[in-house]
Amino acid sequence: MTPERWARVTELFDAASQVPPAAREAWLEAIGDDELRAEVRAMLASYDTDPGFLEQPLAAVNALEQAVRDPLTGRRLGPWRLVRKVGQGGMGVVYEAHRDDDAFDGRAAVKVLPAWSAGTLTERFRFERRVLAGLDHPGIARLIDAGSGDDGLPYCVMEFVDGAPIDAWCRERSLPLGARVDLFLRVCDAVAYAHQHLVVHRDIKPANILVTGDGRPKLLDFGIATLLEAESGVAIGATRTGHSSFTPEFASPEQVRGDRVTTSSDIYSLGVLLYVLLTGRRPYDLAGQPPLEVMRAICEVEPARASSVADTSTADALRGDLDNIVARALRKAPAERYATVAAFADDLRAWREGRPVTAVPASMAYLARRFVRRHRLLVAAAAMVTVAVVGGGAVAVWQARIARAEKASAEARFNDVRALANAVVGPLYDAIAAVPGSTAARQLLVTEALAYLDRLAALSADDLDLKAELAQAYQKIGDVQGNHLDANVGDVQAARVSYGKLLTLRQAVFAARPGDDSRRGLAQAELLLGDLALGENQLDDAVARYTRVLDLITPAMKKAPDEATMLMLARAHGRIGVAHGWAGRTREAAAAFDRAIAILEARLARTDASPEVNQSLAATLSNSGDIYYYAEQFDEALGRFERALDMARTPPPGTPESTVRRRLSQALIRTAAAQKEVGRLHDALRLETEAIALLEAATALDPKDVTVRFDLATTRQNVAITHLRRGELDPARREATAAVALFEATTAASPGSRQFQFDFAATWTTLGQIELAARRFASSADAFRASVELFRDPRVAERKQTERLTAHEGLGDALSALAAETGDPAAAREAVAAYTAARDGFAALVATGARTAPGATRAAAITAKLTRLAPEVAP
Amino acid sequence: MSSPPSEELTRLLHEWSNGHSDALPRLMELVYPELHRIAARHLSRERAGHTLQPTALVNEAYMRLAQQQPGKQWNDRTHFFAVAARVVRAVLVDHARARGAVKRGDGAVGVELAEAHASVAARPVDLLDLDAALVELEAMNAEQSRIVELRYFAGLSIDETAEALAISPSTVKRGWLAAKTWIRRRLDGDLAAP
Repeated sequence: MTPERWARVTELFDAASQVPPAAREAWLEAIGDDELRAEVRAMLASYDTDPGFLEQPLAAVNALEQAVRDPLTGRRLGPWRLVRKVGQGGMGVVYEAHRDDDAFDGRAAVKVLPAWSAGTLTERFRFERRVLAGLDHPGIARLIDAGSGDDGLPYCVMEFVDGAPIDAWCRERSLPLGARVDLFLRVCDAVAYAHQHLVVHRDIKPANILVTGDGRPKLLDFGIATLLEAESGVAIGATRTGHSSFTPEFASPEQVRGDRVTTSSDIYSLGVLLYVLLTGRRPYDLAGQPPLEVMRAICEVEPARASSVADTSTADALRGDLDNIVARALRKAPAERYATVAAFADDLRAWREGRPVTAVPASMAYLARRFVRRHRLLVAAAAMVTVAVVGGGAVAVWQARIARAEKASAEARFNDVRALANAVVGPLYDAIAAVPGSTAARQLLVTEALAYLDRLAALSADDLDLKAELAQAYQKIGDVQGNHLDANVGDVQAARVSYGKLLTLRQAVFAARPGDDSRRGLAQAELLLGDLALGENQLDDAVARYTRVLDLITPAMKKAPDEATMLMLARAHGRIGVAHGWAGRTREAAAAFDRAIAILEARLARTDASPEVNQSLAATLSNSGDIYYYAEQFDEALGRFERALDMARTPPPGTPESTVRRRLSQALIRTAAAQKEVGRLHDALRLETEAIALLEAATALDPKDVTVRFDLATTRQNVAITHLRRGELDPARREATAAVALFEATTAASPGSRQFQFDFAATWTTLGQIELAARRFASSADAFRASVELFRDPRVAERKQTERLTAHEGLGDALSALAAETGDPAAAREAVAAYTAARDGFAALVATGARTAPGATRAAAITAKLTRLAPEVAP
Repeated sequence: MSSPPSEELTRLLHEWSNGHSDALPRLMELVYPELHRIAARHLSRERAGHTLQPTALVNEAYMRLAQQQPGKQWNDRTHFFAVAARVVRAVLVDHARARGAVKRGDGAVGVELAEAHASVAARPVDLLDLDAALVELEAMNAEQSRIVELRYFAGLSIDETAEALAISPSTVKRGWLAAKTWIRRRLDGDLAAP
């Protein structure tokens, strides 16, 4: 607009403003110039809609304030524009952000990480970022993006959550206790989900848990600490105790000490959160304390029981179970806390539903009360438990009498209690063990009985028989706690303690009474500790234990050894073979297996060999074959499997029919698997058909036998593989689908076994491969995804890395084929992620030295696929 | 402390008010750091509820610069306000630019002012858009552009603005209403860019 024209507009606008609104229209009509009239009319309309425009100079100053105080608002990081600062924490400033392009709808929260985390983004940062981006749970704010701005400032982009911190939310609504627990349980679900995906939060606190308007909690910042650690190599929290923005009240002892942070640290922080939600107080008052004092409080001071700090209105409800639950989550030693978030949540649910909780001080009266209420069938057994409690009281009475020197009567009591405790550990234990789901009850029972025996042993230190009884009890409780060959409560730490006591007692007995029996007893304790280590994948520790067994037993071998000694020796060699095999040391494994096999063959040559020797040899052959099989030395594996098969076909007389059938089917399955690998597909199919017939007969005989059903499922899977190899896709799909259905039905009935989980995962992989061959890519991807999902369980994955990575690679194959077919960019992206996971996994295997040659080949092959698919991603 | 800049400031203010527009960049260079310092100091000791008033900011800057030359009469207060308003505008616009706010197809985006006082300020103003509009307005009517600067960036009243520009309050009012209405239309996209 020219200055002249604008001057005219200004003049007319001013004049029009003086005209009363009613007369204005007529006034405007009087303007002869149409354009000018339109201009003035528009000016008037604009003014009327917002007369306050620019009238508030404060606005400018607010911007100035903000400019000085907060230099980031308005900045862009990647495609994100920071609109508003919404919070500040120890790990950066959070902004509400909008995306400038249209690729992402809506707003997000951008966390700008502190400057000390800046630098070139490492490969591990990218890897972690992918893992975190995979977390998809309604209770977790999604990680949308992460990267660094033009000036290298690192940032994470998360789903924007509009809500209030969980503690404030509960307080403002005066939420009742039960509702608080329910809300907390939702938080637990989210954390448990992340833990299943191997992501630890590390900074759980109310400020990181926002409750949205509809009452759903959402966790923020999941894994951000891990990301930062990946980036900077600096342990978050550990070194930052004195930092003003750190929240030590929620940090676990291991975190403030700078020790390894695990899922257990999150369980601790959840415990603090629960404490806060239930009581409105924090377990420690650390405000203004110097860092050393903070550290001491967290690592050493027992917090007050929740009920003792709560309002009188809630204290009654907290006393007892909730106190115990919170206390267990807050234990200083990670091993003493709940093993998993799920176990923690289960206890809270049990409290909600009035069922017994596991977090109790070992009180048999408590168990008896709850157990009888819930299991009327077990009333008889529970009655005996009550007797045992009376027995416990008797110990105290007896001790009092000792003090009064009423010795004779006391000794009678002593023997009563001893007999009672032994009955609890013995027949009563065995009776309850037969009841499904009684593992926790068994544990409590044995623990309590042990306490009596311990006290008795302390009073009678020289009684070797008592020591032997005690050893027996410790072995039983160790089995319940963590023998992976048996139903157990998975408390390996506790099992180690029990077996350790067993070892000490057996050492004492052996020192006092050296002989073959006491020597074998001691060796057995070492063997159990070795098995425990083997189960925990602590392979070097396991080998050391088994070697000690050999050192103990070998002197006895110089004399004519009895069969029990030979069996134990062979067992130790065999387990050493398994440990080496799992560690990828195939040559050492083979040597150990050969020794075991030689010992057993020598013994079997004698006419008086028991069936146990036959069984042990067959098992050792089978185990050694497995090791060769997984080392992909299939000819070696096949030779051993075939020998084991021959032995299974000619069982020693008197072997029960069901055992024969089971061993034979196992041997058939293994032999067929190895045959397939060396190209003998026809032979394999024949053996597998035989196995299926056997197993179906067994299932018909005992439909409740879970193990047989699993074997059947595995065999059907193997048949599916055979058909696949022969290009017979329809029968392959039929068998694999049947196997999946069997696994699903049976897993539901008996969850948790590692081997079964693995076979289930492998079956999904097979189905994925079949569908891939049939060019049904979407269905193939679904199957591979199911496999990847099952392999996420670290217990499944740890020794089956190749299989796990094969599933990832298969997923990549299916998705890249799908992407090529449909042009779906999401499929291509997911394919890249799957290939990357597979390649990185193989590269890691090479790096650790396990499976170097095949690992490198597979990694290279996947890299080639990745390069074809997405050249910019491949290195 | 380095030598006081006030002597030069006085000279530049005179030059500028006598129509030497090339004095302005140097003037701003002198006033800018002082304003920034004052703002930062106010913010650092600020407590909740206390907000720095723009008039107070500009006045304090004036007092400080004037005091550096105690022997001399230095009462170009009105001229100084005109410069200060321009400096505040420059501080904010430079800052917005430095933060990487860029134009996109359908209009400018950048700093949205007054989020923290949304209830007070009727409408967030895009600073870069405002700046661009003022540049255009300057070409149409330089006096109106000054009026907007003094009113909005220095927070002066109609009368103070009239005093600073040595014109009548009614002229200020007329110019202000027309200018801000035009700016609003410009920002709304009612008017095509030239």
